[in-house]
Amino acid sequence: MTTPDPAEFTQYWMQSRHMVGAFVRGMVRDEHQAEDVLQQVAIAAATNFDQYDRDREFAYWLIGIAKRRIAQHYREHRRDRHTFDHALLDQLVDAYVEVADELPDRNLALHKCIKKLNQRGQDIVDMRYQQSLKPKQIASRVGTSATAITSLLHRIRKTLSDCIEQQLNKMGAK
Amino acid sequence: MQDPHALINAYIDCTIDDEGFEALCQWLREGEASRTAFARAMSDHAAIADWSGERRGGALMPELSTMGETEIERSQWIKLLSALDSKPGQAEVVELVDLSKPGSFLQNRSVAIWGGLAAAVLLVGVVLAVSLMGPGTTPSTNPIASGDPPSIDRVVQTVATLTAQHNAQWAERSITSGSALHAGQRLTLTAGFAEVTTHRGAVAILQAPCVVELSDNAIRLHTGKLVGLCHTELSKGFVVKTKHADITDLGTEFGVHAYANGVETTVFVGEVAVKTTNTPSQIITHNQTARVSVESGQAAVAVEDKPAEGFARRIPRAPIITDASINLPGFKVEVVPNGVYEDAKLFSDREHELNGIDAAGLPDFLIGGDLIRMPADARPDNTPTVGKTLQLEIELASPAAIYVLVPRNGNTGSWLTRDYVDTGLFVGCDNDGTIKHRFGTNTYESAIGPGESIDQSLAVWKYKHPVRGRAIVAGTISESMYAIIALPQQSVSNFESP
Repeated sequence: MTTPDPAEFTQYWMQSRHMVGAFVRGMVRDEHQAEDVLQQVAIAAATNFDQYDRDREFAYWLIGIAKRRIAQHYREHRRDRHTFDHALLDQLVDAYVEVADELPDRNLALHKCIKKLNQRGQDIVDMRYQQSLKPKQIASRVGTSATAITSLLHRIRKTLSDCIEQQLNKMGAK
Repeated sequence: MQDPHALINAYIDCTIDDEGFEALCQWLREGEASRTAFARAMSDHAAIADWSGERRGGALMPELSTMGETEIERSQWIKLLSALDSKPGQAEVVELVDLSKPGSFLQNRSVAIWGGLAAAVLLVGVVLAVSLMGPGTTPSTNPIASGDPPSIDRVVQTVATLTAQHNAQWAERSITSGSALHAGQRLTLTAGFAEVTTHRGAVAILQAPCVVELSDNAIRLHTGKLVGLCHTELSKGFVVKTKHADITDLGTEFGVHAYANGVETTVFVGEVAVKTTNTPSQIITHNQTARVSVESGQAAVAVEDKPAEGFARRIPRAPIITDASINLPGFKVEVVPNGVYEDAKLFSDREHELNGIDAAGLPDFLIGGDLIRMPADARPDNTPTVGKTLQLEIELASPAAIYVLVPRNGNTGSWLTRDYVDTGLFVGCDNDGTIKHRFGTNTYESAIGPGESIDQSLAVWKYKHPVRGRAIVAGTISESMYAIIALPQQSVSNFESP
């Protein structure tokens, strides 16, 4: 009888969760569907952990599971026209694994940066992410155009991205 | 070529058109640098979403706190949820508010909730459910602007509450203690511990890594460990479903570990029924462990007369006792955070074990408490300490309820009756080893589990007031030593002290 070691799995999972979470969210844009896929990945990884070859990189093994689940998700949700083909999906897998190591620091930096946003920026982030409103709905809420909100979200993400890079430079993470 | 960042943003916000998406794919195919830039951008997006999820606390109804609804509307919502929650498992017709009421929060995204509920009434006929249109699944047309009826994305029934957690990490968004949990909801605990209480009163202590799915008076354990506690009449019959066996509570406390090719069930108190697809229901009683192994699709059940180890029967928490000392030199006092459980070592200089006085086990509220192991020899009737007065001083990290387990034959003097009240409860001490005393020696051998091989009964007394900071909480005792237990003054979990 092979019983996976829970502590070992937890350790591996914690190291790679940012990467796999980002990958799933990147490939499946609907938040709830992304969460469902992520849960399926976690279940598959936990239940098959005894099959994980310790000589391989865990991130690769995990993202391989995620890729299969995403492919399955694409098959089940054919209405979404904007999905990546298999070849591109494979190339993106490599890219995510490439950046996996920097994600914990990146997330830490983001937490610092997001608090520096001005009130209007924070309000927009709240509506977009906390309430999961689309730009059109945010526009309706604040009385402006969807284009203006799209542009504002773009600027906020750019500001955050620049701030993250600065923080990472300070932290010496890069 | 459009700005790649604009394309990524449009992709994230679902505003990208076919042409833009093709341009994005084209850019991603261009080289590794494009793809790593995309991966970084998407990881930032995911991190913002996680950050927002943490702020929201995983609540499934964020609209309540963000939509600025009136108190009347809030109370309607709470009333509705209460009505649904109060009768789990029973069909109930709920009086709906006027969906067309102008100016109410029905005109914002919460319209989805009420609209979904109304639709559920029509579709299901009987309403047990509140329909929530989850954030992010908003239809492409804005229901506020268009007036279109919202789609029914989820029909959910509240079946449980997350009552406590310790260092919990979730694969999905974080969930705060007190969150309502819904039928069909899947929880993936990747680190730490969590306590889920069903509306029928069954309690499941989840131990990471663990994946469960909730339903009315049942939990499907996909993988990992949980401990089930069913001490209420309503919770009897609580089932833990696994891939290879169903474990049905028969009024008990038990642990289940589900893994790829089998399942292990151990009973701490009471009994459970274990049934596989090809074996009849088998009763497992306290201190027994059943292991179901599956080969070639056939399950086999092996039963061992020994409880399995490695189950967390209560959620661990930060230590309450930060220091404990006695005034008699040369004696060791041990502080064991979360040290109260069946067969826990009771004294610093003995192998005696703490157990439930009978098969019912230790009182619920004591399990998981911080334990002070006193030196059993530090008594005034012993040679090195004869005639000396003992004082136990402790330091607490937070206000705590202090209990003392006093031997029935112990002569405690006045401090016990002055500072403590008798709870009327008893626990057992299972002696182990050779004990020398003035009349000779006795040799004991301990057994496993509650009610087994009990040699002494200990009365449970509680300090009259919560204790804070540093305090002297116990004094001299003759004939036999006591033990001290500290519990948080205010517990967030189910196990409130009397």
